[in-house]
Amino acid sequence: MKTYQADLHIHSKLSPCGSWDMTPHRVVERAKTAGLDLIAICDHNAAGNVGAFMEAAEGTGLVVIAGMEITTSEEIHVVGLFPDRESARDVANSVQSTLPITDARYASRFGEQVLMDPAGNILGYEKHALAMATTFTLEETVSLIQDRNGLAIPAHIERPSFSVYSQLGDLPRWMPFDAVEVSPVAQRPIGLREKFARYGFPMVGSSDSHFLHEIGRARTLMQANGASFRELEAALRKEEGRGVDYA
Amino acid sequence: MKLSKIAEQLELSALWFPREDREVSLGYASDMLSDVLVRAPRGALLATLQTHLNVIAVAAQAGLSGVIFTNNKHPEDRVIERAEIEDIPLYVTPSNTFEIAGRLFAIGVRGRAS
Repeated sequence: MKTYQADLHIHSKLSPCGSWDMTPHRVVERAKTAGLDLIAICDHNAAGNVGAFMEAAEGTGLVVIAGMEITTSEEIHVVGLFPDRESARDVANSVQSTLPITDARYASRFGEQVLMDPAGNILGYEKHALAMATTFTLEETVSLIQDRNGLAIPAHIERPSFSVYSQLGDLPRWMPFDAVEVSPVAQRPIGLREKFARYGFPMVGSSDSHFLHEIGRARTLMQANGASFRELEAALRKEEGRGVDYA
Repeated sequence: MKLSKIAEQLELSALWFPREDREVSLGYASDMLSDVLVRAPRGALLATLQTHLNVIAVAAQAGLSGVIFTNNKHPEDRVIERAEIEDIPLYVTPSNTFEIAGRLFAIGVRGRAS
């Protein structure tokens, strides 16, 4: 058993708000420099760049998990982490079927949504308006993720926008979240994170990086027997001495 | 009615206002950006608590005439900067959304084109 460092919420340029620097090879390089063992690529309502990041990380020792940040109908951001890219792709197809198609002016207002190869070459542009809310409620989103054996983690729970706190006023403690994500860099009302800690969900720390320099600014410390989706899942469930903490 | 006149009557504080005034006859109140995008009538003045940067992108996309942040919710500077680029006038008021919607209605602003 040892401690692995993970940053489980990183955007690529497929997210309209992501920086052009967020290309597979540059993110992998930066994650290695930051001392991370495990990262998850989580674009808004999309997983189309996940495969390119996995390929870019091959042979580097960095493990890439297929992820996604889904916007629920309540405009809450929920991170889904998946055992493989096919599950992520299927969930992405489901949520995107509820999104409008971009028009000519969308990119200038929200940003380009770029599909890339591992080297960062442009393969195409996503046509669904990823910055919009899907029609899936919070509960439906959690089921959608977990039905594909994914981990459902409400994002940046103490932030003033797009969080369970901002949209619902509280963290629904009866819901089967696999963990909750805190952002040690976020502004927050005093005491809120401590309050949510008492709800008993495992807490992960993630950077929600949209720019290279943000990668690893918050991280999850994982006590486990390896850096992988399965070990992360076991650590969230505290199996056989495993566990998570954040920094 | 001219937007500048509405702002004066409702005592709204301008965070940013363009050189050219504009005619406003429609209004909308919502905090859900996905709802604003789909249902706000074009040209509407929006009353909302949401101060996220996406408010400006949605306002531009929906063709809104301006945004009023209620309950004294001040957006970050980058939101105001973005509003200048997109030509979206911004106001803030200590009143809540219900009061602002009521006062807009009282001076003739409507929720849909007649």
